[in-house]
Parts: sequence; C-alpha cells; structure tokens
Amino acid sequence: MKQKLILLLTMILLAGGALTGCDIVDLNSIKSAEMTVSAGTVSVDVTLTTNKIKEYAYQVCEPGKGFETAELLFAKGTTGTLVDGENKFVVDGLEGNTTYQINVALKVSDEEFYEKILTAEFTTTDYEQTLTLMQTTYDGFSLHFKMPAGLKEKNHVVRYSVATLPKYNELKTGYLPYTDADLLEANGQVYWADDATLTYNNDNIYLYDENGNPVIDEWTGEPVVVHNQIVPGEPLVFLAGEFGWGESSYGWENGYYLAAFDRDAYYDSITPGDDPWGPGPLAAKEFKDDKFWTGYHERIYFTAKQPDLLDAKVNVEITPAATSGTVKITPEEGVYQYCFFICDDATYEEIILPMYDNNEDYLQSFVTTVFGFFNGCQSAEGAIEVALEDFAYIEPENKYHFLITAMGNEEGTSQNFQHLTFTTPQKSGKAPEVVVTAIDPEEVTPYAAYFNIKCPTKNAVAGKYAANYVREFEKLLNSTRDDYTYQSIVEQGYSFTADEIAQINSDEGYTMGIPTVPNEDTRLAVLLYNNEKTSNTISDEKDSAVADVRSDRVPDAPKVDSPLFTALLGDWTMSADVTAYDYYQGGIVPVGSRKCKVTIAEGVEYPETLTEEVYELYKNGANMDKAAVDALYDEFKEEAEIFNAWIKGQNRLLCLGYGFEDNTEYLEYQGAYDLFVKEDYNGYDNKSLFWDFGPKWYLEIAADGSVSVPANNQTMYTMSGWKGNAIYLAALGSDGAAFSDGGKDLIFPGEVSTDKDMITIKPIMVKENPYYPCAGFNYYGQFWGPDTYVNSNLTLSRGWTEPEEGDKPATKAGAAKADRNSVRVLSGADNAIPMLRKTPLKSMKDYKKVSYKVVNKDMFLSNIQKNRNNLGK
Amino acid sequence: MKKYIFAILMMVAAAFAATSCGLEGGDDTNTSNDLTISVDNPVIRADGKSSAKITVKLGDEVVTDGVTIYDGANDSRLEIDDFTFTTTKAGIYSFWATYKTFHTETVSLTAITSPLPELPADPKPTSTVFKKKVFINQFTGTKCGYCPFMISILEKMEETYPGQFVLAACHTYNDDDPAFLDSPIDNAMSVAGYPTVLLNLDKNWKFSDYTKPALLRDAFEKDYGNGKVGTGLAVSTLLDGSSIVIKAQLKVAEGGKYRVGAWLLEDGIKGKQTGSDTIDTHDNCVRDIYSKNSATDFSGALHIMQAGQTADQYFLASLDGKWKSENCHVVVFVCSQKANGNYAVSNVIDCPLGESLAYSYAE
Repeated sequence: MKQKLILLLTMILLAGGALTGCDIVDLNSIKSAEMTVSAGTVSVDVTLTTNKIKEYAYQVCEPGKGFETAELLFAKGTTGTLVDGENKFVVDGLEGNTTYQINVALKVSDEEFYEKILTAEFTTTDYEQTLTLMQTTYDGFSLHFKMPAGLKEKNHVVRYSVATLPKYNELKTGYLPYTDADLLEANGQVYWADDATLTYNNDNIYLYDENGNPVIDEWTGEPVVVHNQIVPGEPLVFLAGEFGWGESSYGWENGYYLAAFDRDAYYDSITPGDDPWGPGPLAAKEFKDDKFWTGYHERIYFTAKQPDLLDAKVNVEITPAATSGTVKITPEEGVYQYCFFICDDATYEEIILPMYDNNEDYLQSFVTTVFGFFNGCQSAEGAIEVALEDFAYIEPENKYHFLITAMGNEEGTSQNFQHLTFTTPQKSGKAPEVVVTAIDPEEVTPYAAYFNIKCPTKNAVAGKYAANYVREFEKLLNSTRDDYTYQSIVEQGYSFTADEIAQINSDEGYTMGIPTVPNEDTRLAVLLYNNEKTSNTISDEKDSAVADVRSDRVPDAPKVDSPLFTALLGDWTMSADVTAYDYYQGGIVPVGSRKCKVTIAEGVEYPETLTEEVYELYKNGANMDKAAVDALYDEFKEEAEIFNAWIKGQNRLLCLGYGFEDNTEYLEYQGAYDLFVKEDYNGYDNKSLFWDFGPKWYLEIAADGSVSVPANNQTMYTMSGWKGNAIYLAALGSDGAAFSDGGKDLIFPGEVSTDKDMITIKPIMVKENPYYPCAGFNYYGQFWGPDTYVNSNLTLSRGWTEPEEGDKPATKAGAAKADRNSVRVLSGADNAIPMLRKTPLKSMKDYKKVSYKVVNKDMFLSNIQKNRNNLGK
Repeated sequence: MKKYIFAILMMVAAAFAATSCGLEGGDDTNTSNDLTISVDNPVIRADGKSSAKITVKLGDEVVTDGVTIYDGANDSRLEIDDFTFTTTKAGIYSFWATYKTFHTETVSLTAITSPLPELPADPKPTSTVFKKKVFINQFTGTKCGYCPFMISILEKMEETYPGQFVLAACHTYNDDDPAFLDSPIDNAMSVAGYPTVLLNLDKNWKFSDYTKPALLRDAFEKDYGNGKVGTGLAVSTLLDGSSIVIKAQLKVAEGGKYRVGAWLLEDGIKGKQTGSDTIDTHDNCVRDIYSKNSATDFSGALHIMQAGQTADQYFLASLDGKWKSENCHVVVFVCSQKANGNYAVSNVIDCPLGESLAYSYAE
C-alpha cells in the first residue's frame, strides 16, 4: 500500500509538472554569445562562443564608425555560420599598430536577431618584419614594408618588384641567369625610402596621377603599367633589395641604381666546370646570387587568394586517335566560362611543371593566366568541340594532359578544376591505295598531260602530288644526294584540296591536267594520307601511284610558201643597244651597242655517222659498245627529225645563238649534236638534248612575208638548258618588269628588208611601253637575267665576222648577275616554269590590323638584355 | 480497479509530458528565406508624377509591414510612402530592403527627363506566332580589299529574300573607317578574317568564303524556314535632344530563358571602299551596342519567361553629335537558348529612330 502510494504521488508530480508547462529551465536552451579577440600585426583572431545562434555578420572599422544595426551588418558585412561552442575566424588585411573596432551581429533564426551587437576594440601590434604580407585578394595583395634600420642614414632605398612564379623561374634559368639585382635595377621606377603599404589589384594596374588620370609614358605614348593583372590563386614572387645612389648599368641618369650586391664576386664565383644552366631545381628556391648581397635582400613567395569552389563543372569527353582526336566540352549551368590546355607529357613534365616548382596545385591558375595563354591555353564559353591536333602535335602511343578550369564569373573568384590524362592509341589504319592512270584524250593535247587518280580503299583524307618531266624526276632520283626519293619529292609537292580528295575517293576518281610541252613525257606521283597521317609508299616508277604520259606533237600550222625560208638561211650579225647594272654608280645604265652571231637554219644538223672519237667517248664514259652507241644515235636522229618537223610545221626557221654579255659563257652556244658528244654533259635521254641545246629561238614567217619571233616559257623548249638553269626568252620592260600574256605566246613583231639582208625584231608594245626580247631564267617566280638587257630593236645584218681581241666590248668592272627587279606580271596569271599544275586562286582574306600596346615591362626586359652584354666584370 | 486507475493516470502523465513546451525549441515556421525586391518600372520620368512601385517579397509572398527600405548609394534608411517612388531629379536610384533577418540584393531604376515612349497596341494579344527575320552581321571595313565581294553577295541576298533579314554591318577592320565601331564584338564573335558574315550572333555559323555564296544562301534558308517563330518583339523609340530611349517588349510562345538586345545603326556614311570603284556609301553601320554583357557576350539582358508572357526592356543611350539621327535606326533582337546552353538570335526587328513598331504576326 505504501509503495503504491509513493508511486501514485510520483506520477501526480510528473503529471503536475507537465500540466503547468515550461517552469523547468534547460540551461542548454539559452541563447548566448561571447566574443574574444586577439590582435596580430595585420590580422585579428576572433573567437565567438555561442549557443543556439546560427549565423554571424561582422565589420571591422575605425572605432565609433561602422554599421550599428544587425540588419546593416548582415546586409553589408561579412557573414558566416556558427555551431554551439567556440567558433573562430581571422580578419586580415589590417594595418599594424592601429586601433580598430569589430562589430558582430548574430542571427538566432530567420525571424530573430540576437538581442545585442557584440563589439570589441583592439589594437594591432607593430610591424616586426621588413616585409609583412597583410592580405591576399582574388586580384592581388597588400603588403607592408618596414624600412630596415640604418638605410635612411646611408641614403639607401629598397627597390622592389613582383613577378609571377613561372616568369621569375624563367628568368632564373638558363645560361648565367638574371640576378635579383639585375631584375630590381631594371625595374627602374619603384623603390621605398620609408615605411609603406603596397596594394596591387585590378584597380591600380595602370599608374594614375593625383587627378585620377592615367599617366602616359612619354616614350611609348601608352599608359604606364604598374603591374600585370593577377588572377585568383596565382603564385607570385616578391623581391626587395637595397640600393644606393649611383650610375645605372643601363646607362640611365644617376639614381638609386647601385645594388648592395657584389657583382664581381658573384661572377668570379662561377668557375669553369660549373653547370652554367642555372642554379639547380627551381623548387629549391635557392639561387647562387643570393649570398652575394651585401645589404638588405629578401624574396617572399605567396599566392593570390584561392578561388572558392564552384558548384558546377564542365563535362569533358576526349576521343583520342593515333594522330588526332576530339574533345567535347559541355559546361554545366553556372559555368560562366572556362580555360583549357592540352600538352604532351614531355612538355608537362619538362616545361610547365618545373616553372611552377613542380607544384600541381598551381596548375589551376596556370590555365587562366597570360603565361598560360602564351603556352597555348584557350578560353571559351558554352559547349564546344575542338580537335586535339589544333592544340598539340598528336602522336600514337603518347600520353597527354588536359587541364581545364571552369569559372563561375568573369573574375574567376569561383572555380572548378580538372586535370585529365589520356593516351593515344597506336596507328591501326591502312594506308590508302593509290592508282594513277595516264589518260589519252581523244582530242590532240600537245600542251597538257592528263591523269586519273583513284583511291580504291576510299580512305584518303589528304594528299600531295608532284608532276614534272620524267627526266626531271630522274635527275633528282639519280643525283648524288641520297635524300631524294619519290616519297621526299612528293612530300614537297602540292596538296590536294578537300574537293579533290573527295573526287579521288569516288568511283570515278579525279582527273587532272598538267601543263607540258609537246611530245614530252610527264610523270605524276601521288601520296595519299589516311586520318592517321599514314600514306602509301612509292618505291619506284612502276608503283601504281606513279604514271607517265607522253603529250602529243603539235599539229602543223597551215603551210606558208615563202622565199624567205631559203633566203634567210645563213650567218647573221645581231646587234642591239643594251643596258647593265652599274655597281659603281648604282642603277641600270646604257652600255652601248653589242653584237653576237646568229645562224639561221632550217633545223638541227648532224652528221650521218659517228666518228671513232665518239665511240671512244661513250666507251670510256658510259661503258657502251659501238652497237649501243649506234642505237642511241639512231634515236637521236629520230628526235632531231621530230624537232625539225616541228619547226617546219610551224612555218619557222631555227635561230642559233644569242647573247650580249661580257661573260659569254653564260649564253654559250652548243648544238644538239654538240651535246651528244660533249663529255661533261649528261642528258637523261635524247629528248633532253633538244630541250637543252642552244641558245635557240625561232623566226616565224607569215604568208604576207612578215616575220615574228614567238616565245613561250610554258609550251616551248628552253632557249638553252644545258648549263643547268633553264633559260627562256622573255619580254622585259625598261623598268625590269616582265610582260606575260596569261600563258599565250609572246610575239615579237619583225620585218625583213627588201633586199633581205636585214631583219629587224621589234619589242612588244603594251600601252605604249616597249618590252624587248631578253634572255633570262625563272627562279621561283623571279626573272633573273644575265649581265645585260636589250633596250632596242634587234637588228640582224647578213654575215658574221669573228671579232678580234680588241673588238670585245669593254668589261664593266664588277659586272654580275642578279639584282634585277623581280618579275611583275602585268597581265595574265603567271609565267612560272611548267613543272606543276596551276592551282586556282583561292579567295583571299584580309586580317584585321592590330595595334599593340607597348607597356613598360617590355622596356624592362629590353633593358635587361642591354645589360646582358656587359656582365659587370 | 485500482490498477486501471493507476494505468490511466500513467498514460495521462505521459501524454502531457509529450506535449510539454520549451525543452527542445520550436521549428521555423517560415520555410523560405529568399527576400527579393523589384520595381515595376525600371525607367520613370523625373516629373514627380511618374512612379515605380517597389515590391518586397519573401518567397512568393509580398511583405510590407516590418520592411525597411535603404538607399543603395549610402545605406541610409528611406521612407517611401506606400512603396511608391517618385522623383523630380534625374539619375540612377538604387534600393535594397530588410525584413526580419532577411535582406535583399540591390535594385536600380533610372529617372530621366525625357518622355517615355509608348508601345503601339498589340494587334493580336493572344497570338504567339510571329513573322521571323534572320539577323545577319557583316564584319567589314572600308580598307578591306576583299569585302566588296561580300557586299555584292549581301546585295543579291536583299533582292532574293526581301524583308526576311536585318543586316548590321560592323565596321571593325580599320580604325580610320568613317563607320568604325570601337567594340570587341569581332573578338567576341571569333572573327578571324575579313570579310566575315555571321548569322544570328551564332559563333558556330560564320561564313567567309565569298567564292561560295550558295553556302550562305543554304544556311539562311535553313534558318528562315517557313518564316514563323515563337518569339516576337515590339518596340518604341524616342529621341529627346541627344538622349535615346528605347522600350522593347518581348512576347514568347514557350517558357524559358531569353535575352533581349538593341543596337543603333546609321545609314549613308560616306567612305571610299578599297577594292571597288563604285562603293562609297555605307548603310546599316553599327554605331552603338546596348546588348553587351561582357567582352565575350553581346546577347543582351536576361528574361526568364512563362509561355505567352511579355517582358519589357528599356535601353537608354546617347546620340553622338557626329551621327545623323535622321539616318539612324534601331535593331532589337531576341536570343533564345539552344540545346547546348548557348544563345542565338531567334528574331529581330528594325525600327527607324523616333518611331515604333508593333508585333508582326505570321498569317
């Protein structure tokens, strides 16, 4: 009974307590907050001990100033969250030896602020270090300088400079790297003579005067740049060193340019045998020149404030192939823009990472910096897809790095970084098959050779070709150089366009024409590449990627009957007024009248049989027996008849001999038979002899008895080619410009005197300007002539008398070739040697003119370079 | 019986214990902590009568009692009767507010001395099927020797597709061009060579090969489609002295994010064109751009819309003394968001300065 009564009473008490509500107080539910502060030199540690309070907001200000209400503190101050118990945070960026007040408002719930504002007054301690980093921000830093004792008395100052870590490391590597004294002296503008606070951020990149206007550099006309832009998280190096008054090593006026640095001792310390390539690993941050300072010198490393973590990233999809690949980048919502970088592993390990002291944490900022962009970083917005090979040279079985920093805003104060690696696969694609086929069109084509090109495997993505006369191929392939192969020749050739590749991959293939001369063998060789840059291999001329075509002979022109075909035969004296370059006076000057022998013939002449000397020549020189030489000569005679038939069929006479030079060897005459028996001449075949002999040119006779001299460096034989260079007859104006008529024959008009003892060849007139016949050779599109240039009609008088010694024209001292104006084509497409097919003109673009802003950092580096030449010894 | 009484008393005691208050603290009853401030008119006239209503919301609920409005310029408290702001002084005004422990961002409005343009009446208020025009940007310059080829192509486009596009010529090539536009828009559009034509401010659609005009025509026709689109614009422009006030309104068929921008163009600018013996006058030259968000983004101001909704956008600018107002016209465009998140112009209109254009509906 008693027990039940006690139990009942207990229950009644409990129930009674419940019925009367909240009279029992739980101390843990009381909201409370206390604050303590501990001041340093540039910061204050704040401890909030709170209970049941969720957030705080604070402001540090001058005593008596600042926000006084919780609403304003939470709206304008710095906020944070709280847990029950101790909460600590640090406020930095304060000035030393200064009194501040901190006001803290607290939020209990969304409905309610804490009843009071916590306030504390504190005084920061005085500066002890020379350099005290006060604060770092996303875009810079604040730093306090305390003048070291004794410097003012010596009238010394402290120069300072800041550089990004990779730039500083770059300057401290290599042969005899820059000393800190070099760098500080070259940064000529800035020094401290007393305590100071330095702040660098985006607001003071340029120097402003007291009115807030940018200061303009007198030399460059551009605003003076104080410092480069600093990005969030960027590693920086700050240098400071003691300097006295004196003459600058850069030749400036006297100033604080004498570093408290024993330059002589430093360079003396570099003994032969030392590794000249810098001081060792950069990450050690120990440089040889450090210990040669005799006064104050300091270097500190720090980073700009790290960006916040962005709660959004970019999705990266890399699809590598052996020599190419794609990267698809898709940013999530919240990514404002991003920067990315692609490189191979060697570049990463040997160039990028060492510049950042091998610290991969710095790579996030690297991608967003100017240094990054100079190394190939790119920025973009939105989803993109890029080709790997646009950013790095992609090779099979190679490792690559992909770095990407996504930013939440333009300033990059919130970021998300990814470092991905990938390895390219080995090549697996088959080389394209190439089939080149000679085409024989139905109509007569003496001036073009046609080929069809097919890729039966249809996997060509690019290709190149080389086309030339067969003998030109053979000259290169049989030359003493062993680096000439079909592969190397074609790799230096022309590229096919995308349209042409598409046609090559089609069932019909691609048909192309190569300009050529009549009755000539033209060869086309083709390389095609697959998407892994693997090409077919051409072994020899029998390869399916090589084909030859012989062009047709020129059809005969309507026959002209004229007595001139016989009356004009024989030796003639050709004379003309000529000009030449005067090296003493400069410029092109007249040198008077010159003459040379010209023999007009129906065609090439040759003996019917060969002499024993000729057989001996071939036996000794080519190990050919008599039968072989006879067979070769029979072939020569056939070619001679073909050549002569061509001349006759075009109603022409053959003119042999040309040239008014002091150096008569330049246009020395050798006939076709002369070349056949010439010991030091090697032609690829007999056809070559008719291509090369000369100088030769032609007199064409019209039905009305008029004559003309035709010339065409694309469709006719060379004027002369046996000396190596292919010489042609061109039409040259007095200013050195050559006239071209779009590939058509040049026609120099002429007339024959009534007595048929004089022939006059006149210039081609173009808008009243005369263009005279001159011999020269085409060198990469430029016309290079001999010593002299025709500047009048060519006058041929019947008969020739060999000149005696004294009759030779006086030699101009210093006469030499070249230094003529380059070819200026006045009309028509070009007058190039017909080695390769003409390609159509592509649409041209102009590129926007960019004006560069030259800033003082360039002056800084150029000043450095001046001093490099004088090592101070 | 006594056992049962005891058990009942136990249960009662337990029930009261469970309902006792104060031991654990109450829950927050307000689940939203998003306090916003807005003004219904971002531009008002500084005549003491034209007004802007300031609305403060906690979540979706408008709050008034307990709200404190502050001046955004100096953070001082403001007393604004009935949350309605008027002024007689032109300038930019900014406000923010607190309510309980919440505070808003800052909102601004501009008070101008010029009159405010009125939009023309909507001829079909319930329709959202609009006539489409394609926005063509031509990057060019008087010293660009190859640009006459592109000029010729665009002239032929005008003949072939009359009224189907709006052309804006950005003379960004040479800075001694009388129509030179000093803006980084060419860099923003990744223009690498001249001439270049861009469709709809879409960087992925650039056309430079003037030897193949068919490519431009094909792309244009594909974009123009049937000439109908679900984004429409109306505009009213006003020139008061040298002050330009543009009021544009956007109406959309589908909800989503849209951006509205405006540019000022001038016709009849004299300048010899390199590469041409006949071209010495240039039309549709962009003089000013009011859609720049950053050095790389020229897509205009953001509007988050519901289907069928309209949104107003003001542009305030000044007319340079060297420009001829009678030759000026305003291009207003709307950018829609593509599947990849990027924006491109979906419709554009061209209105002479000082005039208005109503919505243009497809039949």
